[in-house]
Order: sequence, then C-alpha cells, then structure tokens
Amino acid sequence: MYRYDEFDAAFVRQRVKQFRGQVERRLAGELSEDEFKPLRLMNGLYLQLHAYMLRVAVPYGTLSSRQMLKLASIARDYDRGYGHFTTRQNIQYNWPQLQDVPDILDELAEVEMHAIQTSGNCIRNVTADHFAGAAADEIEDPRIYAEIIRQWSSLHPEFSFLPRKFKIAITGAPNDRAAVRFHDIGLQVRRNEAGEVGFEVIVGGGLGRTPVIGTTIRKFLPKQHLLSYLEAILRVYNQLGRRDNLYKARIKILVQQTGAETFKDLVEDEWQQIKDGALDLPAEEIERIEAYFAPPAFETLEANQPAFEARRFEDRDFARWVRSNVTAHKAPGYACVTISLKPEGEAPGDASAEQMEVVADLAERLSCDEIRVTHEQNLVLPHVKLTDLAEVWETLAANGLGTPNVGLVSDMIACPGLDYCNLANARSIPVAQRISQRFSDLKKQHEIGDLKIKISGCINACGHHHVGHIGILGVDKKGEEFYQITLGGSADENAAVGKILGPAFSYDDVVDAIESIVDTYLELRGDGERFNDTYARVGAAPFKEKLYAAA
Amino acid sequence: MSKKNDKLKIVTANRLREGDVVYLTDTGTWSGHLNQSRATRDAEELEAMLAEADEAVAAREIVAPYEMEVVEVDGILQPLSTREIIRAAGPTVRADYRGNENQRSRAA
Ligand code: HEM
Ligand code: SF4
Repeated sequence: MYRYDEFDAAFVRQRVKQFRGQVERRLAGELSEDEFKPLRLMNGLYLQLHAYMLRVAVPYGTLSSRQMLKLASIARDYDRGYGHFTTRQNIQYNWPQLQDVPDILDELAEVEMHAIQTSGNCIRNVTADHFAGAAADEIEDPRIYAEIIRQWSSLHPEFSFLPRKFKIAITGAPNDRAAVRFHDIGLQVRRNEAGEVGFEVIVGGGLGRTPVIGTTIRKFLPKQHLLSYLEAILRVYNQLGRRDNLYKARIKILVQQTGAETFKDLVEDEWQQIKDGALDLPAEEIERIEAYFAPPAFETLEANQPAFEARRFEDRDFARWVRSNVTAHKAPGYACVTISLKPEGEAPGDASAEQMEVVADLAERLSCDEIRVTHEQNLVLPHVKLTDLAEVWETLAANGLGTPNVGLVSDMIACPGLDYCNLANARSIPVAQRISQRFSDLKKQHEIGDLKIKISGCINACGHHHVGHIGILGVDKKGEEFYQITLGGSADENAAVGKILGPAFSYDDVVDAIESIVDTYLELRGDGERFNDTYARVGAAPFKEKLYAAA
Repeated sequence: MSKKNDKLKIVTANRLREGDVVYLTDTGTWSGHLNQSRATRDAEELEAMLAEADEAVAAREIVAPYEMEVVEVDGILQPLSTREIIRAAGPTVRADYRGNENQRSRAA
C-alpha cells in the first residue's frame, strides 16, 4: 500500500506544528475568530451544532489496521468513543475540543493521516472505488491515479483558491462504484480498441442545490496526459468560474452556461498549449506509484472451496450474509467483504472505538492488513479468503457488524442532519433508523432486493438524496421538519436525478410513505425488475395514487 | 420606558476551548444548562446581553454568540425551535451519546 514518502511526512508534521501555533495564538487572543476560522477549516475543523467537528481524510478510502487502530484510540481518548464514516471517504469526529486538536493531528501524523484538503475551495480528497485493487471487474487500480492526482493537486499554488471546492472521483471498473458522474470531474478507466488503458473524462456533475449529471468531454484520454488534461480543465474553470455567487460557483454551472461543447473546446485549446510538457506522465512515474499499490501476495487457491460451500449450504444466516455482503474478487479463492455500518436502529456510518478495533484485528489477520471506507458509509475487508469468511462473519456478527443488508432497503445513506449539522432543516439519522426498524425483517429485505434509499437534511445533499432510487430531502415548513420524496435517481453507470413525487410528509408520516412506495413497487414489479426499472415502466402515477389516496 | 420585545430571548454560544454549547446566565457566567439562562423580553436588555457576549468573545471565553427564542413552561425555560431543542439536549439518535460538558465520558 502507498506509504508517505519523506516529503509528505515532513510536510504533514510541519502543517501540524503550524496549526498548533495557530491554536495557541487563538487561545492567547492573538488571532480573532475571523482570522482563525479559515485556518481551522484548512485543517478540517468545523464548528457544528453542538461542538467542534474534525474531518479526517482517508485518501481513496484505503486504511491499514494500524491506521484504523489509531482512529479508534482517537475516538476513545479525545471524543465520545465513536466516529462517523461519511460518503466522501472521510471520518468525522463529532466532539473534539479545540485545545486537543493539535494533539489529535499529531497522533494522526504518526500513522500518515491528516485533515488537509477536507474543506475549503481547493481540490478535495480524491475518492475511488472501494473495491479498488480487488474487484473482479476492474481494468486497473484507480488508486494509482488518485494518488498521482493527489500529489499534483496537494497545495497546487494555482488551485488553492478556486471559485469553489472541487471534487474528483475515479473508478477502475465498468460498474461505477464511485459515482463519477456526480463529481466536478469523474474519471472512468477505459480500454480502447487498441487495448490501451486510459480514461473517460466526465465534467460538471454534482448534487447540492442544482443536481447535474456530468458530461463526457473526452471518451478516451491516454494515461500519460492525465495531469495536463486535468490542469487544462481546472485552468478554464479558474478563469471563467463565477466567484460572485456561491451557488453558481461550481464547475457544473459553468459547463451549463457555456454549453458542454464550448467548454470542451476551451479545455482542448488550453490543453494543446500544455500537452506534452512538464505534466506529461512518463511510464516510469506511473510504475513508481503503481508499486505502492502492488497487490498483496495472494496465495494460489482453488476458486471453489468445499468447506465454504458446505457452510453456505447448511447455515442460512451465513448464506444470506454472503449473498448481500460478499463480492467477487479478482484472485481465485478470495472475496471482498462489505461490513455494514447500518445495523437496525443505529446511526448509518457510526462505528464505536471497539468496533473499529475488531475490524482492524480482522483486517490484520484475514484481509492482508487492508480496510476500505465506502462512499455508502460502510467498511470493506477487500481480500478475504473464502475459507476465512465464516470466521470473519462470526466475529463481525458478535460485534454488531454482521448485518446482511448491503445494497438493501436498510443500507441507507444518511447525512448528519439536524442532530449534528448547523445547516440542517430536518433530522436525517432518526428517519433512517426508523426506516431500518420498519423493514427489520431481513428476509423481506432480501425479497425486496437492491433498493437504495438516501436522505439529506437540507439541499446541500450530503446524503445524496438526488441519486437514491428513493430520495428523501428534509425541508423546513414553518419550523417543522418535513420530508420531500424523489423517485428514480441513480448514482451508478445509469446515472439519473430523482423526480419529486408530490407534497412533503411530516416527520411522523415519512416512514409510512416509504413503506407505501416499497409496497407499490412489490405489487407492480415484473420479473427481475429493479426499482428504477419498474418506475421507468409505470411512471409516478401508481406510486402517487396509493400514497396520496390514503391522505 | 424601554421598548417591549414580545419574544422571550436568551443568548447562546459555544465555549472557545472545548466547543460546548453554553448560555448566558443572570450572573454573567456561561452555563451548559439552558434553564439557567438569563431571559428577557426587553430589546435594550437583549442588546446589553449581546454586548456582554461580545466581551466574552474578546476575552476568549466563547465563540459565535447569538440570540435565540425560548418559552417558559411551568417556570422552566425551553427552546422553541427543533434545532435549539436538539442543540440543548444533544443528538436525538443515541441515548448513550447524549450529554454536555458535565458528562463528557473523557477523563479530562
Ligand atoms: C455536518 C457537517 C457538514 C456540513 C456543514 C456540510 C456542508 C456542506 C455544504 C455547504 C455542501 C454544499 C456545497 C456546494 O454545493 O458547493 C456540502 C456538500 C456535500 N457534502 Fe457536506 N456537510 C457536512 C457533512 C457531510 C457529511 C457527513 C458527508 C458525508 C456523509 C458530506 C458529504 C457531502 C457531499 C458528497 C457533498 C457534495 C454534494 C455536491 O456534489 O454538490 N457532508 N456539504
Ligand atoms: S445535507 Fe445539509 S443537513 Fe445534511 S450534512 Fe449536509 S449540510 Fe448538513
């Protein structure tokens, strides 16, 4: 796995030292809050509803056991014993004290972690497919390029003060697990007809107030041009992006206003100037980074493991968990395990210090020392032998981590909402908890099948509601919490933005409404139809009829 | 006579060092208990309270002060908005995570 080189380590140490000085000066009165606020935001520290909140980056979602143990001990020593994994492959601590934050950052630096570029109008932490380096359907490991982008963008002087924050996601497989069509720039690894590997480049996607599906501006970009092409996009954006209006400052608005074709031409013109220059990526450089992500030494195993098959045959609970939480691995005899952080009635994405330690231990012993954080707020053990799956499952289940619901109704994304967030209109987490309780019958959840429900507590859309098959948006109606429902969204390769179904529901009624929608789907669905297929076929009317007839 | 302000208001902020939610009390201290707040319907008094808060900001005791509306029920002050109810009582999502500065699980 990638290890910091010496430059990075020294740089992170220096940043912590600098921030320690800034905190001291703030507490001594030498810096006012107005002066201090941008400095703390640059280090991932927010002031939220109840307390400070620290956002720590997990670059491309990859963690070692040692790093996970550190996240656990920070949760225990400096926070209230838990952390919250987010859709941006970050972990957020909800209760750190300002006076402790420099110590926390020092501890993180010990394990090569930091909170840099988790906020501010810079290029944020690059996200990648959580099965990177493991998935059976992968063309190339996207983390190699995520890391190359990180090294280039980290503190790039030209791009530290962009019109707005800038998010890049990259996936190495045709099945998009990184929502690349909903980022400022999305990169999808592609193979061209000649068999060469490069990128499809997608720009101007995003959620928030104005959800937009990104546009492909280049179907195939040879690898060596990655950075010059990105730089060209960023330059055009930096020159033309609006700085006068916060809501119009994202690249998606620029692409809409100039038109995708014109935008593409501007980028290509700029690119012609810098192409084949200093930003060209030589094959050796790619190989150097690739070496950091060299796959673990997988054993040569049979693809078929009788002991595993037998257990699956005998033990229904195990079989159910395998069905929803285990995914195909590229190495025979191995599998990717998704650990659900959505047990019934709990806050999606929360993990206690003890749970983090359990995961760290399993990863060290049984997953080549690797853990991933997914953008759906779950964790992954990417390299587990089929013969170890039963032990992994038993240990997870004994620690509240064995819920067999990945991709199902109760595997919801929920933003922190009004329980933690200063900007919220309404609560998200308790709505998610109540939905998971309503669908507590796991057998039924498996019958319903793949269904993504996502909820945000305000229009900033941190909970990705626009791209939920069923999306829920918290709104404020005269001081009361209400919830607007959208149907038909999707974040994967079939990207779509959900459409509003009708009038919003109260906090008390929203769970019934979701159940009614799911029931309508079950009544109408044809063979093998997923929610969005049925919705596309029958439209909103039958859902509305049932839902609003009762009222 | 001073102007009447029909709404009952208090002043709240976060402690600078710890980040905890606090409320301005009658004695000019900052408390984690909303019910100990100094409450007023008087616009001038509210101005004076906000000025006091600014001094506490300058003294580096608190950050981000603002006024908020409360109601009095059976002699007990309660926040009006859902936001402030949650801010005063802690997240509604897990009982074991509730609490204020007096209940921090962490040994200071
Ligand atoms: C509680 C503290 C948080 C605050 C104050 C906050 C604030 C915001 C704001 C203001 C935006 C909109 C920015 C824009 O449109 O330019 C935003 C977007 C976003 N947030 Fe958060 N957020 C918080 C927590 C989270 C969490 C916990 C997650 C992950 C679960 C998250 C994920 C996102 C994502 C993915 C977007 C991007 C939407 C887009 O593409 O425009 N945020 N956030
Ligand atoms: S969507 Fe709104 S309520 Fe939810 S975390 Fe983002 S800013 Fe807060």
